[in-house]
Amino acid sequence: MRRPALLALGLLCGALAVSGQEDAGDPLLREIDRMKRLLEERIAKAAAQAEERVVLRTYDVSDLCTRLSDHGVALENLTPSKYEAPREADESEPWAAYEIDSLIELMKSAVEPASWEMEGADIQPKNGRLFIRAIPRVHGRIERMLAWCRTSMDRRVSVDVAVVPVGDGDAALLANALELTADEARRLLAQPLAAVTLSGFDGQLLGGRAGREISYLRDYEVEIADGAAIADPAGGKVFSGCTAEVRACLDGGEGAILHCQLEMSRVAEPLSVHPTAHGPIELPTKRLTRVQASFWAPLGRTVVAGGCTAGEEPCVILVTARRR
Amino acid sequence: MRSRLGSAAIHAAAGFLLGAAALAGGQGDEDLREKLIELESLSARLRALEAGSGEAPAVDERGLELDRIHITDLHAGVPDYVGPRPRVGETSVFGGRAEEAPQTYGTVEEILEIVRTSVRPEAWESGSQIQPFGQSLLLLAPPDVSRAARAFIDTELRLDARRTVNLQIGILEAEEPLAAALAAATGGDIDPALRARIEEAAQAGKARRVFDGRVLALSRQQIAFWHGAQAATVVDADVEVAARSAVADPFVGVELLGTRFEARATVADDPARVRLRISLASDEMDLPPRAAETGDTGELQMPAGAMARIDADLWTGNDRWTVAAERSAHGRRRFLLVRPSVIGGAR
Repeated sequence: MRRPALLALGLLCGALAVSGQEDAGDPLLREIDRMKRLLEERIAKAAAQAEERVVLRTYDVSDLCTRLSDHGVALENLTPSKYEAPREADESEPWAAYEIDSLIELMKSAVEPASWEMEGADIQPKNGRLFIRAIPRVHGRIERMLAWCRTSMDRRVSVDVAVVPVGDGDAALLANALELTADEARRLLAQPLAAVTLSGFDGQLLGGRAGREISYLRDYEVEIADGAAIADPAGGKVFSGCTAEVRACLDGGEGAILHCQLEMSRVAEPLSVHPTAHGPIELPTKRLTRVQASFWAPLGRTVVAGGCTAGEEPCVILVTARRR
Repeated sequence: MRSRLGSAAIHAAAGFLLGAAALAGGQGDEDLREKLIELESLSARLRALEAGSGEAPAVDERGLELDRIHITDLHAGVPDYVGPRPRVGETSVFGGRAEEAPQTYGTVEEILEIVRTSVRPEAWESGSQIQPFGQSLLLLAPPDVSRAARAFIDTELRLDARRTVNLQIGILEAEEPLAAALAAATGGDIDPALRARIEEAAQAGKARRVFDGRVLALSRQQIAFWHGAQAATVVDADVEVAARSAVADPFVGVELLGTRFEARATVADDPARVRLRISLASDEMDLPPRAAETGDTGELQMPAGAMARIDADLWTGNDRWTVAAERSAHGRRRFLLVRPSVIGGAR
C-alpha cells in the first residue's frame, strides 16, 4: 500500500480512536515523543542512504543554450542604375549564453568534482535537456547553479531612438549638452519626427525602422532585338523615416557602449518627374541626417548621439539605453 | 522489503497520531499541538528523503565561489565607420561599417590572460580557476579573488574603453576683417578675444554659422556623419544598337549633397589634448539642375554646384574651439571649427 494511503488510513484510525475518549493528552504525548525519536532515527538513516544513491533527473536548459543572432538593418540609399551593393561586413556568428558542452564542463568542475567519479554518475545532453545521474546533494547544487546561470545571463537591454527637430531655443542646449535632464528629454521627446525602440540582449545587434515606404517608377530596363526594342519599366522603393541599428554592450553596471548606425531620412513628395525617350521616370530626393558612431552612455539617461543644430532642417538623434 | 515495510508502518503510525492530535489539538492543548506540528514536519522530511530530494549544502566545501564577469563591452569589436565617397577600392560608395572591427583588448581569451597575469597571479596556481564562458569570464575562486578581478576590469580596462568624445563641428562663413583674424588662428585655439569678435561679427551680419554638427564617438574610433541629401538625376543614357533598331537606356545617378565628415578623435593619457583627424566634404547642387536636350536619347540633367573637400590633422585642446582649416571660393571664406570634449573614462 502506498505511503499517502497509509498516512490517510492512520489519520482516520487516529481520529476514530480519539473521538471516543474524554482525555487523550498524556498517552498521546508519550506516544508522540516515541514516534518523534523513531522518525529522527529513520531520517538520519534515510539521509545517509539517499546521499549514497545516484538518481536520475532531467533539466531543461534549452533557454540557456538558445543561440542569439544579430538583427542588423542596413541604412538605405538611393542607388545609381546598375549599382551592385558591395558585400556587407560579416555579422558575428550566432552565439549562446551557454554552450551545452561548456555547461556540462562547468557543472563537473564547479559542483563537487569528486562526486562525478562515483559509479553511474554522469551528464548526457539530449535535445536541450540534461540527463543527470548524481547523488541528491549534487542535484540540489545543480538546481541552484542553474538558477544562478539564468540570473547571470538575464542581461536584456532596450534602446529608444528618437529624432527631434531643433528649434531656435533648443540649438544652444543641444549643441553643448551630453545628456539631457529628465525634463528636457520629456519636452523634446514629446513631438519626435520619428522614433523606434529596440529590445534584445547584451551585445546583440538590434535593428529597426519606423516611417513610410514609397514606391516609384525608378528606371527602364531596355531590351533590344533585330528590328525591335522595348523599355521595361522598373519600380523602386525609397524609405522615409527613422532607421536605427544599435549594438548595446552593457558595462559593469551603470552604462553601456552603444555601437550605432542611426538615420533620419525625409523624402520630398510628390517626387519630381523627368521625361525620358521611353516615358517619364520619378527622381526622388531624400534629405537625411546620418550618424555612424560608438559611444558610452549612462543607462536610463537620454543622450544626444549626434545631429545638426544649424543648417537646413536641423534635427538631433536622441538615444536612451535601459537595462531590462 | 523490510525497510519499505518499516517505513510504511512508521508513516501509518505517524498518520494515526496526527489524526488523533487533530482532534486533541482542537480541544486546546497547545503543547500537544506544537509537538504534533514538529512530528508532521519530521514525517514530511522523511517522506522527501525516501523520495530522493535531499537538500544540498549551500557552501562549496573548497571555499570557492562561482562568479561570472560580463565583458561584452570590452571584447565587442569597435567598428570604424566609413562615410560616403566616390567609388574607392572596394568601399561602398555610401559607406558603412569597415570590414574589420578591432577589439579594444582582444578576444575573451586574451582578456582572460590579462586578468590572469595582472590579478593575484598566485591564486590561479593554487586552485582558483578562470575560463572563458560565452561572452564572459567564469571564475571559480575565493570571494576576495573574484572581487579583485572585478575591480581590475572595472578600473583598469573599462575606464579607458568607454572614453567618449563629444565632437562638435562648425562651419563659419566670415567677412573681413574677421576672416583675416580666423585665417591667422588656423591650427590653433580660439581665444576669448577672437570668440568675442566672432560674436560681434555675427550680430552685425558679417559672420554666420552655415553648419553646426555634433556626434559622440569613442576615442580612437573613426566615425561618419552626414547631414544633407541624396538626389536622383538622369545623367546619361546607354545606347544599344541592333539590326534595324536602337534604344537609349536612361542612366540614373545619385548626387551626394550636404555636409559629411569622417573623424577620428584620439584621447591619450593626458585628456587635456586631443588628436583629431577629420575629412570633411561639403556639396551643394544648383536647383533645378540644368537640362540638356540630346535628341533621340531624351533629356539629361547636368548637375552643378559648390563643393569643398578639407582634410585636417591636428592637436586640439579638450573642450576648446579650434580653427581647423579654411576654404575660400567665389569670394566666400568659410572656416572649419572643431571642439572635442572628453566626457567619459576619466580616471
